[in-house]
Amino acid sequence: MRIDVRRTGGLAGLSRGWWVDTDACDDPSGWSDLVGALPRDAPSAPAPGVRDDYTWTITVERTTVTIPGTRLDGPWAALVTRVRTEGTPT
Amino acid sequence: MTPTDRVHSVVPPYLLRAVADAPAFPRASEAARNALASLDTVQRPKHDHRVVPQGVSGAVDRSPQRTISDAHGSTTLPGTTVRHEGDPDSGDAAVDEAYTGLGATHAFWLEVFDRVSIDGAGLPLDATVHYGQDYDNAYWDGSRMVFGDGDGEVFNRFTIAVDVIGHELAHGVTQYTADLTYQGQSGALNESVSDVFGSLVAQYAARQTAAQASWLIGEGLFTAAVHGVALRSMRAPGTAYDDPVLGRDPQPATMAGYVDTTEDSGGVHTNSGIPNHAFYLAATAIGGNAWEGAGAVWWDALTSDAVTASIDFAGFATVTVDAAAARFGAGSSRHTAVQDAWRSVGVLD
Repeated sequence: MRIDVRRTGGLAGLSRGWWVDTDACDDPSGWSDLVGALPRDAPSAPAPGVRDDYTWTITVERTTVTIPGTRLDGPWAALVTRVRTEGTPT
Repeated sequence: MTPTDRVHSVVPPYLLRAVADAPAFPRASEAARNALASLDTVQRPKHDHRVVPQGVSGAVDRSPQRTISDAHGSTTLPGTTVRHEGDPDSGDAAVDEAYTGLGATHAFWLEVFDRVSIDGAGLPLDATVHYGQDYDNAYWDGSRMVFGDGDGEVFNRFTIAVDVIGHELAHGVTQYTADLTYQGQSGALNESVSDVFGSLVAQYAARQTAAQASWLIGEGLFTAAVHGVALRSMRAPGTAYDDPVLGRDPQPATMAGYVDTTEDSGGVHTNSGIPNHAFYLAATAIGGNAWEGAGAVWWDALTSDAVTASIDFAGFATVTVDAAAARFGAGSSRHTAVQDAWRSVGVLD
């Protein structure tokens, strides 16, 4: 499956992205486990008054979620970290 | 007379000034000059609740009340307290730069606009440094500033630029005044207001005139490996960097280049280039110290009830033009400079 991660916003307003095709990875089942651990919901609303935070946009197959950087943790953060580490920059 | 006891004249100050300058009426002009001298002619912003919060009683602490905390590379806030107000340098560059920058920002608001801290009521100033790992960012969390150390390859530590510190604290000032919604044009105005006042904090600390200022935001943040001078340029949006890895500075200088996007809350860090450039044009046309000319006009606008949370570029521009007329006189060169600036960037006709 294809996973896209995009980071926008931040003080510098720079956009960066990474993607993986998990079927082409050495460890497709590890990736499936990561995706399987994702909660149904993602914290999309930023905390009030937060400014210059990053925004993470994560697309797994055809489902896209948007998570403020200050709320990225747990399974979503684990997925993002792995895509950044092993994925291809877009 | 304290700044809160300003006398309000029946004859508006700009009319008194016109009479004071009239060569044909020497007695009237002398009378007008005397009247002006007895007035605090810096008109009080119309909506006091944005200048000083309601319900504040007792003495306000006019000292910065700084507390710097260390997150030790974690994302847990606030972190451990490492420097209190009045403590000597810690030896940690990020801690000490945050401390100094908070102080410079506090001094700017107090000395230039008689505003006691970002809420006008002596709110303590808090910052956390060493946040995250290779964290290429700084942000305002609604009550404190948070700074990353950068990655050391592209970005240096984010406390290194005093205008960045001023930028983040200005988000707090906006929060307590116009509270511009962080989306679309109002969001780009929110970002621009932070760049404007962040830049003014740096200019004031260095006692630079508008002509001497660099009009760059975040100079020193990029490492030497980056082909760029700053995050943004108010003088020339779109020219701050052009790097094989980072890409090119995407900021437009005029409405013709307005970026329609859903990213970055509708491009708030990109389209801010347009009102930024208007401020630069107004400030340099007026000359002298930017905080006394265009800065005072922008402050009047920010504290005016006419600037609503969802205002767009044209609405904000109109308020600044009206504010310049009120402060400096309709038809004055400063009024014209503000109007011309917004016309040059295509926001007003």
